Amino acid sequence: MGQIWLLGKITFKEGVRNRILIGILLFAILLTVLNLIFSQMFTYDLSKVSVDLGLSMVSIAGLAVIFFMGINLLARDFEKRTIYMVISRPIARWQYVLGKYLGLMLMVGASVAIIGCFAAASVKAIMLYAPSYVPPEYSWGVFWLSIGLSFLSLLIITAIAQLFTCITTSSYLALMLTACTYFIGQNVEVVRKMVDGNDTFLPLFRYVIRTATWLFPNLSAFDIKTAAGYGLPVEISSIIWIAAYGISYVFIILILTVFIFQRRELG
Amino acid sequence: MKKNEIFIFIFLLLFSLIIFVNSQIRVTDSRSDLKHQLQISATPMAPEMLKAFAGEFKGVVADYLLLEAASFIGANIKADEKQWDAVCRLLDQSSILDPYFQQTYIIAQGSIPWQTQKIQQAMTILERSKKHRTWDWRPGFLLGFNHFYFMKDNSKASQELMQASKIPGAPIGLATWGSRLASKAGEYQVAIEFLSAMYENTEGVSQKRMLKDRIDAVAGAYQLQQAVERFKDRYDRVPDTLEELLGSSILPELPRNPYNRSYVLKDGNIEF
Amino acid sequence: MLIRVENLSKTYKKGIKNRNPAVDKLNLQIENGEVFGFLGPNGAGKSTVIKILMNFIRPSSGSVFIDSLPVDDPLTRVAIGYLPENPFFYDHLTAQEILSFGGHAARMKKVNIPDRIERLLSQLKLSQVKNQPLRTYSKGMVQRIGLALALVHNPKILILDEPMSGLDPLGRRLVADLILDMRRNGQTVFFSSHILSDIEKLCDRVGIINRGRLLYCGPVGEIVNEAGGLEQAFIQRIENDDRGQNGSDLAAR
Repeated sequence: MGQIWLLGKITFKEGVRNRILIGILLFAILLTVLNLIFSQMFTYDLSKVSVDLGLSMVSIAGLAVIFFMGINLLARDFEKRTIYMVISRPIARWQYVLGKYLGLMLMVGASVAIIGCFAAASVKAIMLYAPSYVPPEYSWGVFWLSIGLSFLSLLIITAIAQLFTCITTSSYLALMLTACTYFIGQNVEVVRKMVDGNDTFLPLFRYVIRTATWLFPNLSAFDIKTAAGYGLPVEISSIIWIAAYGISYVFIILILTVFIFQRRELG
Repeated sequence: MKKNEIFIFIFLLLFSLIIFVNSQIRVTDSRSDLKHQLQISATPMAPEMLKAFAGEFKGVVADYLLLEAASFIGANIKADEKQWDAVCRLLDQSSILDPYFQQTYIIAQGSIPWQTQKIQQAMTILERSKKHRTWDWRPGFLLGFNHFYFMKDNSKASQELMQASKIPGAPIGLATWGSRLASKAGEYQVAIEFLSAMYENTEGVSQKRMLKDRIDAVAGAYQLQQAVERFKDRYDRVPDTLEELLGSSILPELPRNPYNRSYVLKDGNIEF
Repeated sequence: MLIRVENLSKTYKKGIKNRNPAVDKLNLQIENGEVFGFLGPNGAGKSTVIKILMNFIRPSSGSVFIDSLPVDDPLTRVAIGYLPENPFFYDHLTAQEILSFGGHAARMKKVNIPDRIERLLSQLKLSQVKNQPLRTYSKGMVQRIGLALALVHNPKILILDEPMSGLDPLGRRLVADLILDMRRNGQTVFFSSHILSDIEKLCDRVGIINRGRLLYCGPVGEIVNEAGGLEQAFIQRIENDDRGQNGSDLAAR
């Protein structure tokens, strides 16, 4: 555990020093301003719009950290051989995988936390400005729950990015594959629903789609932004199942990565 | 890796897989109906703003909005007024972003006027398509159909059809129907011919089947209406129920309604 | 015996045609406390052997033990300090942070780490820059950080891949002094190089490798006397080997 933590720490430091923190802070400030301006363009449901925007920004910032920083950080280990500095220590391969993941998790977590706080502040400001548009059932609990689920979906993407980086050892390929997975993950449920409700599709196509729902993460399940915006009730049991789904998916991907990386030659 | 580490990882993998399968099934189940109640929502955004936000990805955003609406319609769940509102809005936004897309007006026409009272929304989308797709006779044809079938405005319908019939590739029948409508001939017959033409010009099995059902339904209504006319001729009054037609041996049996409802007789008119 | 290489072969899977093994049935033993120089022309397989010692790549056949543990046990690397050929580090970190990571990861006692880092940095003349991020360092400074990282946990064995390449004369002197220090302390050094004068000066024993096979392995003195200087001995052996190889290639055709 100590080794994993050590590696996580330096990965996080390396990431944070990369001026990404400044970028995220700028982004957060921009978000707040944008949120205040943007919601003026709507004539109704102001608070819903600001919640929507704030929560989307959290996701976008997290994605940016993964795609612009995380994958780079992972692939650089292979491309520049900085990995030697780590695995020439008494650090097992599986510890390397988990340590790197921990570092990225901290990075994504930090950015989600920062943007999340800014988003909450701007939403609060808009609610104070236009109290009549606050949905009667609005709950900050659901707001933070939505951020938590966004974080979980970002963790899934991080794990996938790491898997692809370990397989391809190339930042470009890993980026493309991860982006594809992200888009498929966002849409796989909609597509499946369409295919299931309609028996005109080829059986093969349905079969492919059904398999895809098992392989790709159903990222839209982690999106409860609408519920947060309108203050709709969320069922605790379904949230728990979604969390279990996300966490077990991350575990599976990480373990796969461990097994693949175990066999990897780092010549 | 040491042996015991491998065992731990394999054990963890199996454990996670069990949880994964379980939770995947639960999540899919709980979201199969929940999802659309929650999710079919469209941003209440002015179209111009949406256009600005989509930037160079207007086409993709249009496709996405359309997909969202289509998947909702495809799921065949009982939707309330508010959800249909959202569907209409999605389709409208999609058609604004990409007014040329054929799929949009086909889906709009295939769902909105039949399942809700929001015929005007479908008409707006059709009008937009007609304006942009100058080579396509179908939007005008469908507009004409809506005027005739839903709005009961035969003169407008006739106008639309006459206009559409001038576009190259339009079926020969259009002009004929247009003129026949103007003279208010037997509406059921026109409706059947209309629908048959739509059937001929439609691709996609499910769309075709849907139209086939409509044709059957109208044909059934037509048959009943004719029977009612005969009843009137014979007894000089309107029958109270459809069963009366059977009893008086005017009709051997009631036509089957493809929508699993029965036809209803109201003030001498057939409703279905 | 500290390092034991038995019947080691390694063939890289690169296309169908290139099936020449990078390392071919290599046997090698290195005793506790000796300085061993690993010599060979470019592409002879030196780096491959070192990477197998570090468990970066897996042997196709044969086995390697360090301190009688197989190298795929991460614990062998508690005893190893390693300097790669062109070291790269997380370059937004400072020297201090990198070395602290190295010390902790090698399971040093926490209380000893700051002192050890301080001493190493001053020995390698890096004290003034220890709080700057590594990307501001010159190439020589990065190389020295690499050395410091290899040495931070005072390892039993030091494995250096071309430690002298890219260093100015001062830097080379520094490395040479370090190696001699280690010899004096009874530590073991295994390094590859093609700078023959350094090897002649520093090593107890040398191994000469060409096309993945060991041509010579023995005390430096012996081979130097044999041909009147390490350079002649080295060139002679490589040329003989290449000629023989070409002959057998021709015969095989």
